[in-house]
This record gives sequence, structure tokens and C-alpha cells, in this order.
Amino acid sequence: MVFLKLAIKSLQNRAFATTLTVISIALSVALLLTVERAKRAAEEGFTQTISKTDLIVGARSGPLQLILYTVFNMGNATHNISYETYEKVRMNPAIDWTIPYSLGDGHRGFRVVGTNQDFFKYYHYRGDRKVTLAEGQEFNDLWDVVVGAEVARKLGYKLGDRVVVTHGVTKGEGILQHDDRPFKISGILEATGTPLDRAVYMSLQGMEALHIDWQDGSAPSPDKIVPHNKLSKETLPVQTITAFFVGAKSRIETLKLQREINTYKEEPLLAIIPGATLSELWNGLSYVEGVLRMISWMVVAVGFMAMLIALTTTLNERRREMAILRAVGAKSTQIVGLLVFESALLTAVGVLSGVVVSVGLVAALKPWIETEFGLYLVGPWFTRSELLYLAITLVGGTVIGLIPALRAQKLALKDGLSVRT
Amino acid sequence: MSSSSELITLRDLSYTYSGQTSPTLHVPEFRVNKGEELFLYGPSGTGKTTLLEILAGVLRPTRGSVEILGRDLVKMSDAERDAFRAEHMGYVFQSFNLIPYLSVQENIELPLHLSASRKARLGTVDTEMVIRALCGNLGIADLLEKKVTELSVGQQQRVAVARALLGKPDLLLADEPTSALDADHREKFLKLMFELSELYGTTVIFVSHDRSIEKLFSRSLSLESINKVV
Amino acid sequence: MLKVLLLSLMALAHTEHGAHVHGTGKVSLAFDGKKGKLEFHAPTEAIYGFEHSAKSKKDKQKKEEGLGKLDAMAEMVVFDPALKCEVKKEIFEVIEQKNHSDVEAEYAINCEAPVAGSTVTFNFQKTYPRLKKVQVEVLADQVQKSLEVKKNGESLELK
Repeated sequence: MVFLKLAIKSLQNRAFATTLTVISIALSVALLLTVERAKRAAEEGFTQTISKTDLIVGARSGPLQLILYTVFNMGNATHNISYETYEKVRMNPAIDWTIPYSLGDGHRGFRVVGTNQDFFKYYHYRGDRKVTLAEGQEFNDLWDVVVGAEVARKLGYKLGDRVVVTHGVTKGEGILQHDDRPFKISGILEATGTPLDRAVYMSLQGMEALHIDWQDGSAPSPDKIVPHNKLSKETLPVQTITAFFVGAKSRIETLKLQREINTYKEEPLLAIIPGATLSELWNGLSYVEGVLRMISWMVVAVGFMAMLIALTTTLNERRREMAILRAVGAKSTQIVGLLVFESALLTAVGVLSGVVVSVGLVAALKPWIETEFGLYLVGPWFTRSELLYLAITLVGGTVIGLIPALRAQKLALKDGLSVRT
Repeated sequence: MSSSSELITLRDLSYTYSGQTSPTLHVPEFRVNKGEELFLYGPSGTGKTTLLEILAGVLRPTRGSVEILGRDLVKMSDAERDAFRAEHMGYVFQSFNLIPYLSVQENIELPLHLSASRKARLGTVDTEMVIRALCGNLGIADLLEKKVTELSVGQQQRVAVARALLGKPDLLLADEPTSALDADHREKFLKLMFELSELYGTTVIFVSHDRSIEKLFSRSLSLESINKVV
Repeated sequence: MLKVLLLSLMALAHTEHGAHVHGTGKVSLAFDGKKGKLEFHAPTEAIYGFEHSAKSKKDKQKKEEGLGKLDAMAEMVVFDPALKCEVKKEIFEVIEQKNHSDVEAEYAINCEAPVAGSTVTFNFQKTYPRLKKVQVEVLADQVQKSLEVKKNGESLELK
């Protein structure tokens, strides 16, 4: 193993250049891995925002729009569906459970969702995780609201705080405020790392109560305002909802159920399989993934260039060394081997350090990334494609090493035992 | 055919560097006997180093034959010549003989790692002991653990000789190894070198432009007397 | 980060369902454990070459031939051989409308092991080269996935 020793000692001898080269390869590998990992986390966070729900049903529009306003708190429904339709559809024997969702109002930039207790019972995300309360209780009273973890954190809410709901989702203070309706925080949700954290939940009746005296979307004149102490959960009829989630009794039945809902005669409805729509959307995003990956590979290429430069610039100084090795009997192919081995060693150490940096970074920043970005860093440390990338990098670095090595061989043959310039 | 006392026979040898039209070297015939201490002199640029490199098997002559120990180097493959050199020869340069990032001992051991047959020449004795004894003879035993860069030029040249003679090679090729030494050290250096080469039965071919040391050798030749380039 | 992705998605919103698009088919797969169902939907043009009602002898022959290949669904939707899945055609129907006509077929699938967690490979173009694009939707227990199949050999991991 004299060449291992020679390579290591020679690299040590050029410690500064060696370190810089290793760092540049390590950083590029770390970037490559971290981008891949972020991509995986984003995909996981994205496609696992909702689970165990077989269908999401809303008024007929695009599936994208439907999933965005129900699951991601983004955009608005153009139409609502009547409560009557909801009641009829949910009677379908193929249906196991439903969660009604009524959207529209906002609270200081956060979405307000009207739903019922089934939300706590059946809403799942990331496999079999359920919505649970960190503090307090569900919205049992008409004026009770439950806030998502991020809402509570950002706005500094505690149990019992009174809140005001704005009409329509707007940033900051709403223009039209339902400030005559004294809502009270009855519960705060456990953080989920999903858009659930960024919404305020109340009963369907509470949502109706907001608008009981409104007409055509405008605030009532003072004489028509219904005093809030005259409203109660029992007496308020629910007119419309925006969408509902469906859990079917069987997957096979779901296909038929979906078709039945999509062809529902009395009202135009759209039923989508959320996971299928999400994965379709994710595939539509694959170009972002491609761009990110391309950037990472370019950084890797820059790392290799740094190595190539570092190895080539030292070649001239090392011609003497090559002549000595030739004199003691080294074959010119062994000289090539030595240099290729050096770059393979550099790359290997670089790749290894890159892996350590990436793994360390992910491990250290995991909690922060989860709460701040809702990116869940789950799954294996390395996927097969990531391992393949590492292998490609290793082979690439070694092949790059061939360039200075073959040049060195040429010089060694030309020089013989004396360095000719 | 070469007799048993002959180590080297060159016949009709010619070497032309690529890109040049006239040969640097043309040797119709040249013989060296086993155990000789041959001094080859001539001004620089007359092909001394070229001849040494051909003998070492690093350069392949354009024409002719190079017979060493009864084997023709010209007929060998590159790899075979490299292996032959590793097994049978030692080489000492004018200067910068040592790899700077290896210790003195590691430098001396190099040929053993590159050639198993060279190592076999040491016999069954402990390598460490052989190196210690060899270096003791050369007066550099206390330098073994040192870094090469801490050595004086004279010490470096003696380390180079130790490396070249380790494993009792048949042939020692020396390319002006004393030119960087002062007259006093030069003679001491040569005496040490001969002492060992005679002990090991190693033939020495020494090229130089400095004829002041000529008298210490068993035979002295001007390169011009064997190189017939016009 | 998710927000940025989603915003660019809003801009991307391109896939709308239900429309009759030439060369585009749809496959829905649903599984409860080892048992499943496959629904296949495609314009007749992709199945037998035209969308008018077959009157000539040649057209009738072409239609029969094209529809006959529907039996070979197991070659178009390929399950992991270890699951030993059996794909059986239950019903099929040609729906002729004014300007176009579609084929709909339903299959029952019976496997010896649960399909969720395995990988399904699609080779639609081997049987129907005119079927340029197939929107595949899968519901396998808790796994929901979709894929736009554009060439033979594309696969979907049901994880």
C-alpha cells in the first residue's frame, strides 16, 4: 500500500490546497443532498397535508382550486353548496363519515373555517395523525373559536381571549369587521406543521351567525342588526357550506361514489381524490425540482473544477517527484494511478464530509425547519437516488483526476529522469 | 555473446529525441564489466544523462541493443524495463533525490515497495536492520527519522546512495551526484560509496564533467570516445 | 417554501378533468387490500381508429379488433408478479355521442397480497399506440397517487 501512503503524505504536504479542495467538494455535495432532502420534505409536507380522506367535494370548479381553498387555505370558492345537498349526499351508503367546511371569513390574515366536531374526529394528516387540542376545548358554544398553533403564536392568543372576525380574507385589520360579534377562544390546536396551523375554527352556526343580518354581502344598517345575545346554536339554521371531506367505507366504492357526486343532478359538484390531485400537482412542479437539481450539479461541477485546478497547478512542482519515483522503478502507469488515487481520495473525503455536513445540518435544524416552514424531514437518511448521486460524484471526481494524471504521465515520459523544460 | 564477466553491452546504439533530426547519441559499441567503477566524463550537453537514462531503461533507444545481465532492454516492454530497473539498479541524481514529504527512512525504503524482487534481494534478514547498517556505514544512521528538508545537501546525497544501494543492486547509475558538494566532502562521499559498492559487488557508472575525481575510479572514459555522433 | 410552491402552482393550473381529449385516456384504480377495481376510459379513436359509428364491413372489423384488445388489460397495467394479480374484464361499453365516442370498461382485480406498497407499471402504448397520454389515478387503502403516463414502462410506486 505504498501508494496510499504516498498519496496521503503528498496531500498532507499540500494541506492548504487539499483542505480547500475538500471543502469545495464537501460543500457542493452537502448542497446537493440538502436540496434533495428539502425536496423530499416538501413533497412529504405537500402530499401528506391531508390523509385518510377519500374525496373532497365542492362546487364545480377546477380540482386545483378546490384543493387549494380547502386544504391550503388559499384562494376562494366561487360558489358554495347548499346544506341540503350536503345532507343528501352524506346519506349515500358508501360514505362512512364527512366533515363540512364553510369558508369565507378571515381573522387578521388567517382563514376562518366553519366546521363541526367531526373535524376533530376524522381530519387526518401525515398518515394517521389527528387534529388535537394543545389547550382548552372544542368549539361547543356558538361563540367559541379554536385557533391553529401558528395563529396563537403569531398573535399571542391565550384561552379566553376575545377575537373579532373580518369579512373576507384580508391581511391585517379587515375593512369590514364583524366587531359586534364577540367570539372567544375556547381552544388552541397542537402544531401540525400543515396549513391547519394557520386557521381559526368555529362551528358552522358561528359562521352563519356572522352573516345572519347581512344582505348581499353588505353590512346591515344599524336598525337591522340582530343583537348577539338573541342568537343561539340551536336556533340558527345552516344555509350553505363551501365543501366537505368524505371518508368512504371502501376504496372500490369510492370510484363509484366519485362518479355519482360528479354527475349529481340538482347541483353541479366536483369530487376529487385529494392524494391523486396533490401528486398530480406535485408532478406539475417537477420542473422546479429539475432546476434545483441542476443548480446543485453545477455546484458539484464547480467543486470538481476547483479540484482540477488544484491538482494541475501542483503538477509542475511535482515533476521532480515523478522523476524520483520513475528512478526507483515506478511504472508510468503507476504514476497515473497515484494521481488518480489522490483525486479519488480527495473526492471521497469531500463526499464524506459533505454527507456529514448535510446530515448534521438536517439533524440540528430539524425542529426549527418543522415549525418555521412546515417541512417534515422524515423518511430514510438517504434514498436510492441520493446514494446514486453520491456514487456519481465519487466516480466523477476520480475521472476528473485522470486529466492531471494523464498529463503527468506524459510529462514523466518526456522528462525521463531529468526535468526538461 | 557477452561473457560472464560482462555486465553491459551496447551495440550500434542510437538515440534521437523526438522533434530532432540528428541523434544525440550514437554508440557503435560499449562494454562494462561486472564490478567496474567507471568514470564517464564530458562537458554538459554531450548526452551523458541520455546515456544513463537509456541504461536505466527509462529511454528506449531509437536503434541498437542494450544488453544488461544478458537481457536486451530494447526487447522488453515498458513495464518490464521498469521492473528490471527496480530490481537491478540504483540511481542517484545530481540533486533533489528525495521526496520532500517522506521521511529519510521512507525515502530509502521506496524501491522495496515498488519491487518485490528487490525486496527479496535483502534475504530473510530484517529490513529495518539492513537499513540501519547501511546508513551506519554512510554515517547517516541518526537521520532516519528526520524530515528530508532538515538535511544538508551532503546528507541528502548520502541518503540517495543508501536508497540506490539498498538490496545490493547490480548497477549503480550516478548523474553528477557530487557536483553540489565541496572538494573535501566529494572525496569522502565517493570513498563511502565505493566501499559499499565493492562490498555489495555493485558496478558503478558515474558521469561528470569534473575530472578532479577521476583518479578514484577503476576506469575513466571520455564520453566523446564512445559517442560517435558527428 | 410551500407557499411559494403553491403560488407557482396556481399559475400552473392547467389540468382540468372530464373533457374528451383525443389520444388521452383515464384509468382509475382502487384497492381494498387484495381486491381491487379498474376503470378504463378512452376515446374510441385511440382504441379502434375512428369515432363515427361503424357501418362499413372494414370499420366493423376494426372496431371489433380494437375492442377485443381490451381483454388484455393485464398487459397494459402490470402488477408486481409476486402479488399474483388476476385482472378480469367485467363490463365495457361504447358511448356514442354527437361528435365523439368513448369506450368505458371496468375490471375486477384479485391479488394474493395487498397491492398498497407495491409498484405498478404501465404499458398502454404497447396495445394502443394511439393512446398518447393516460391519466392514472390510484387509491390503494390509504395511498392516493396519480401519474400521467406518456410512454411504456412508466411506473408508480404505491407508497
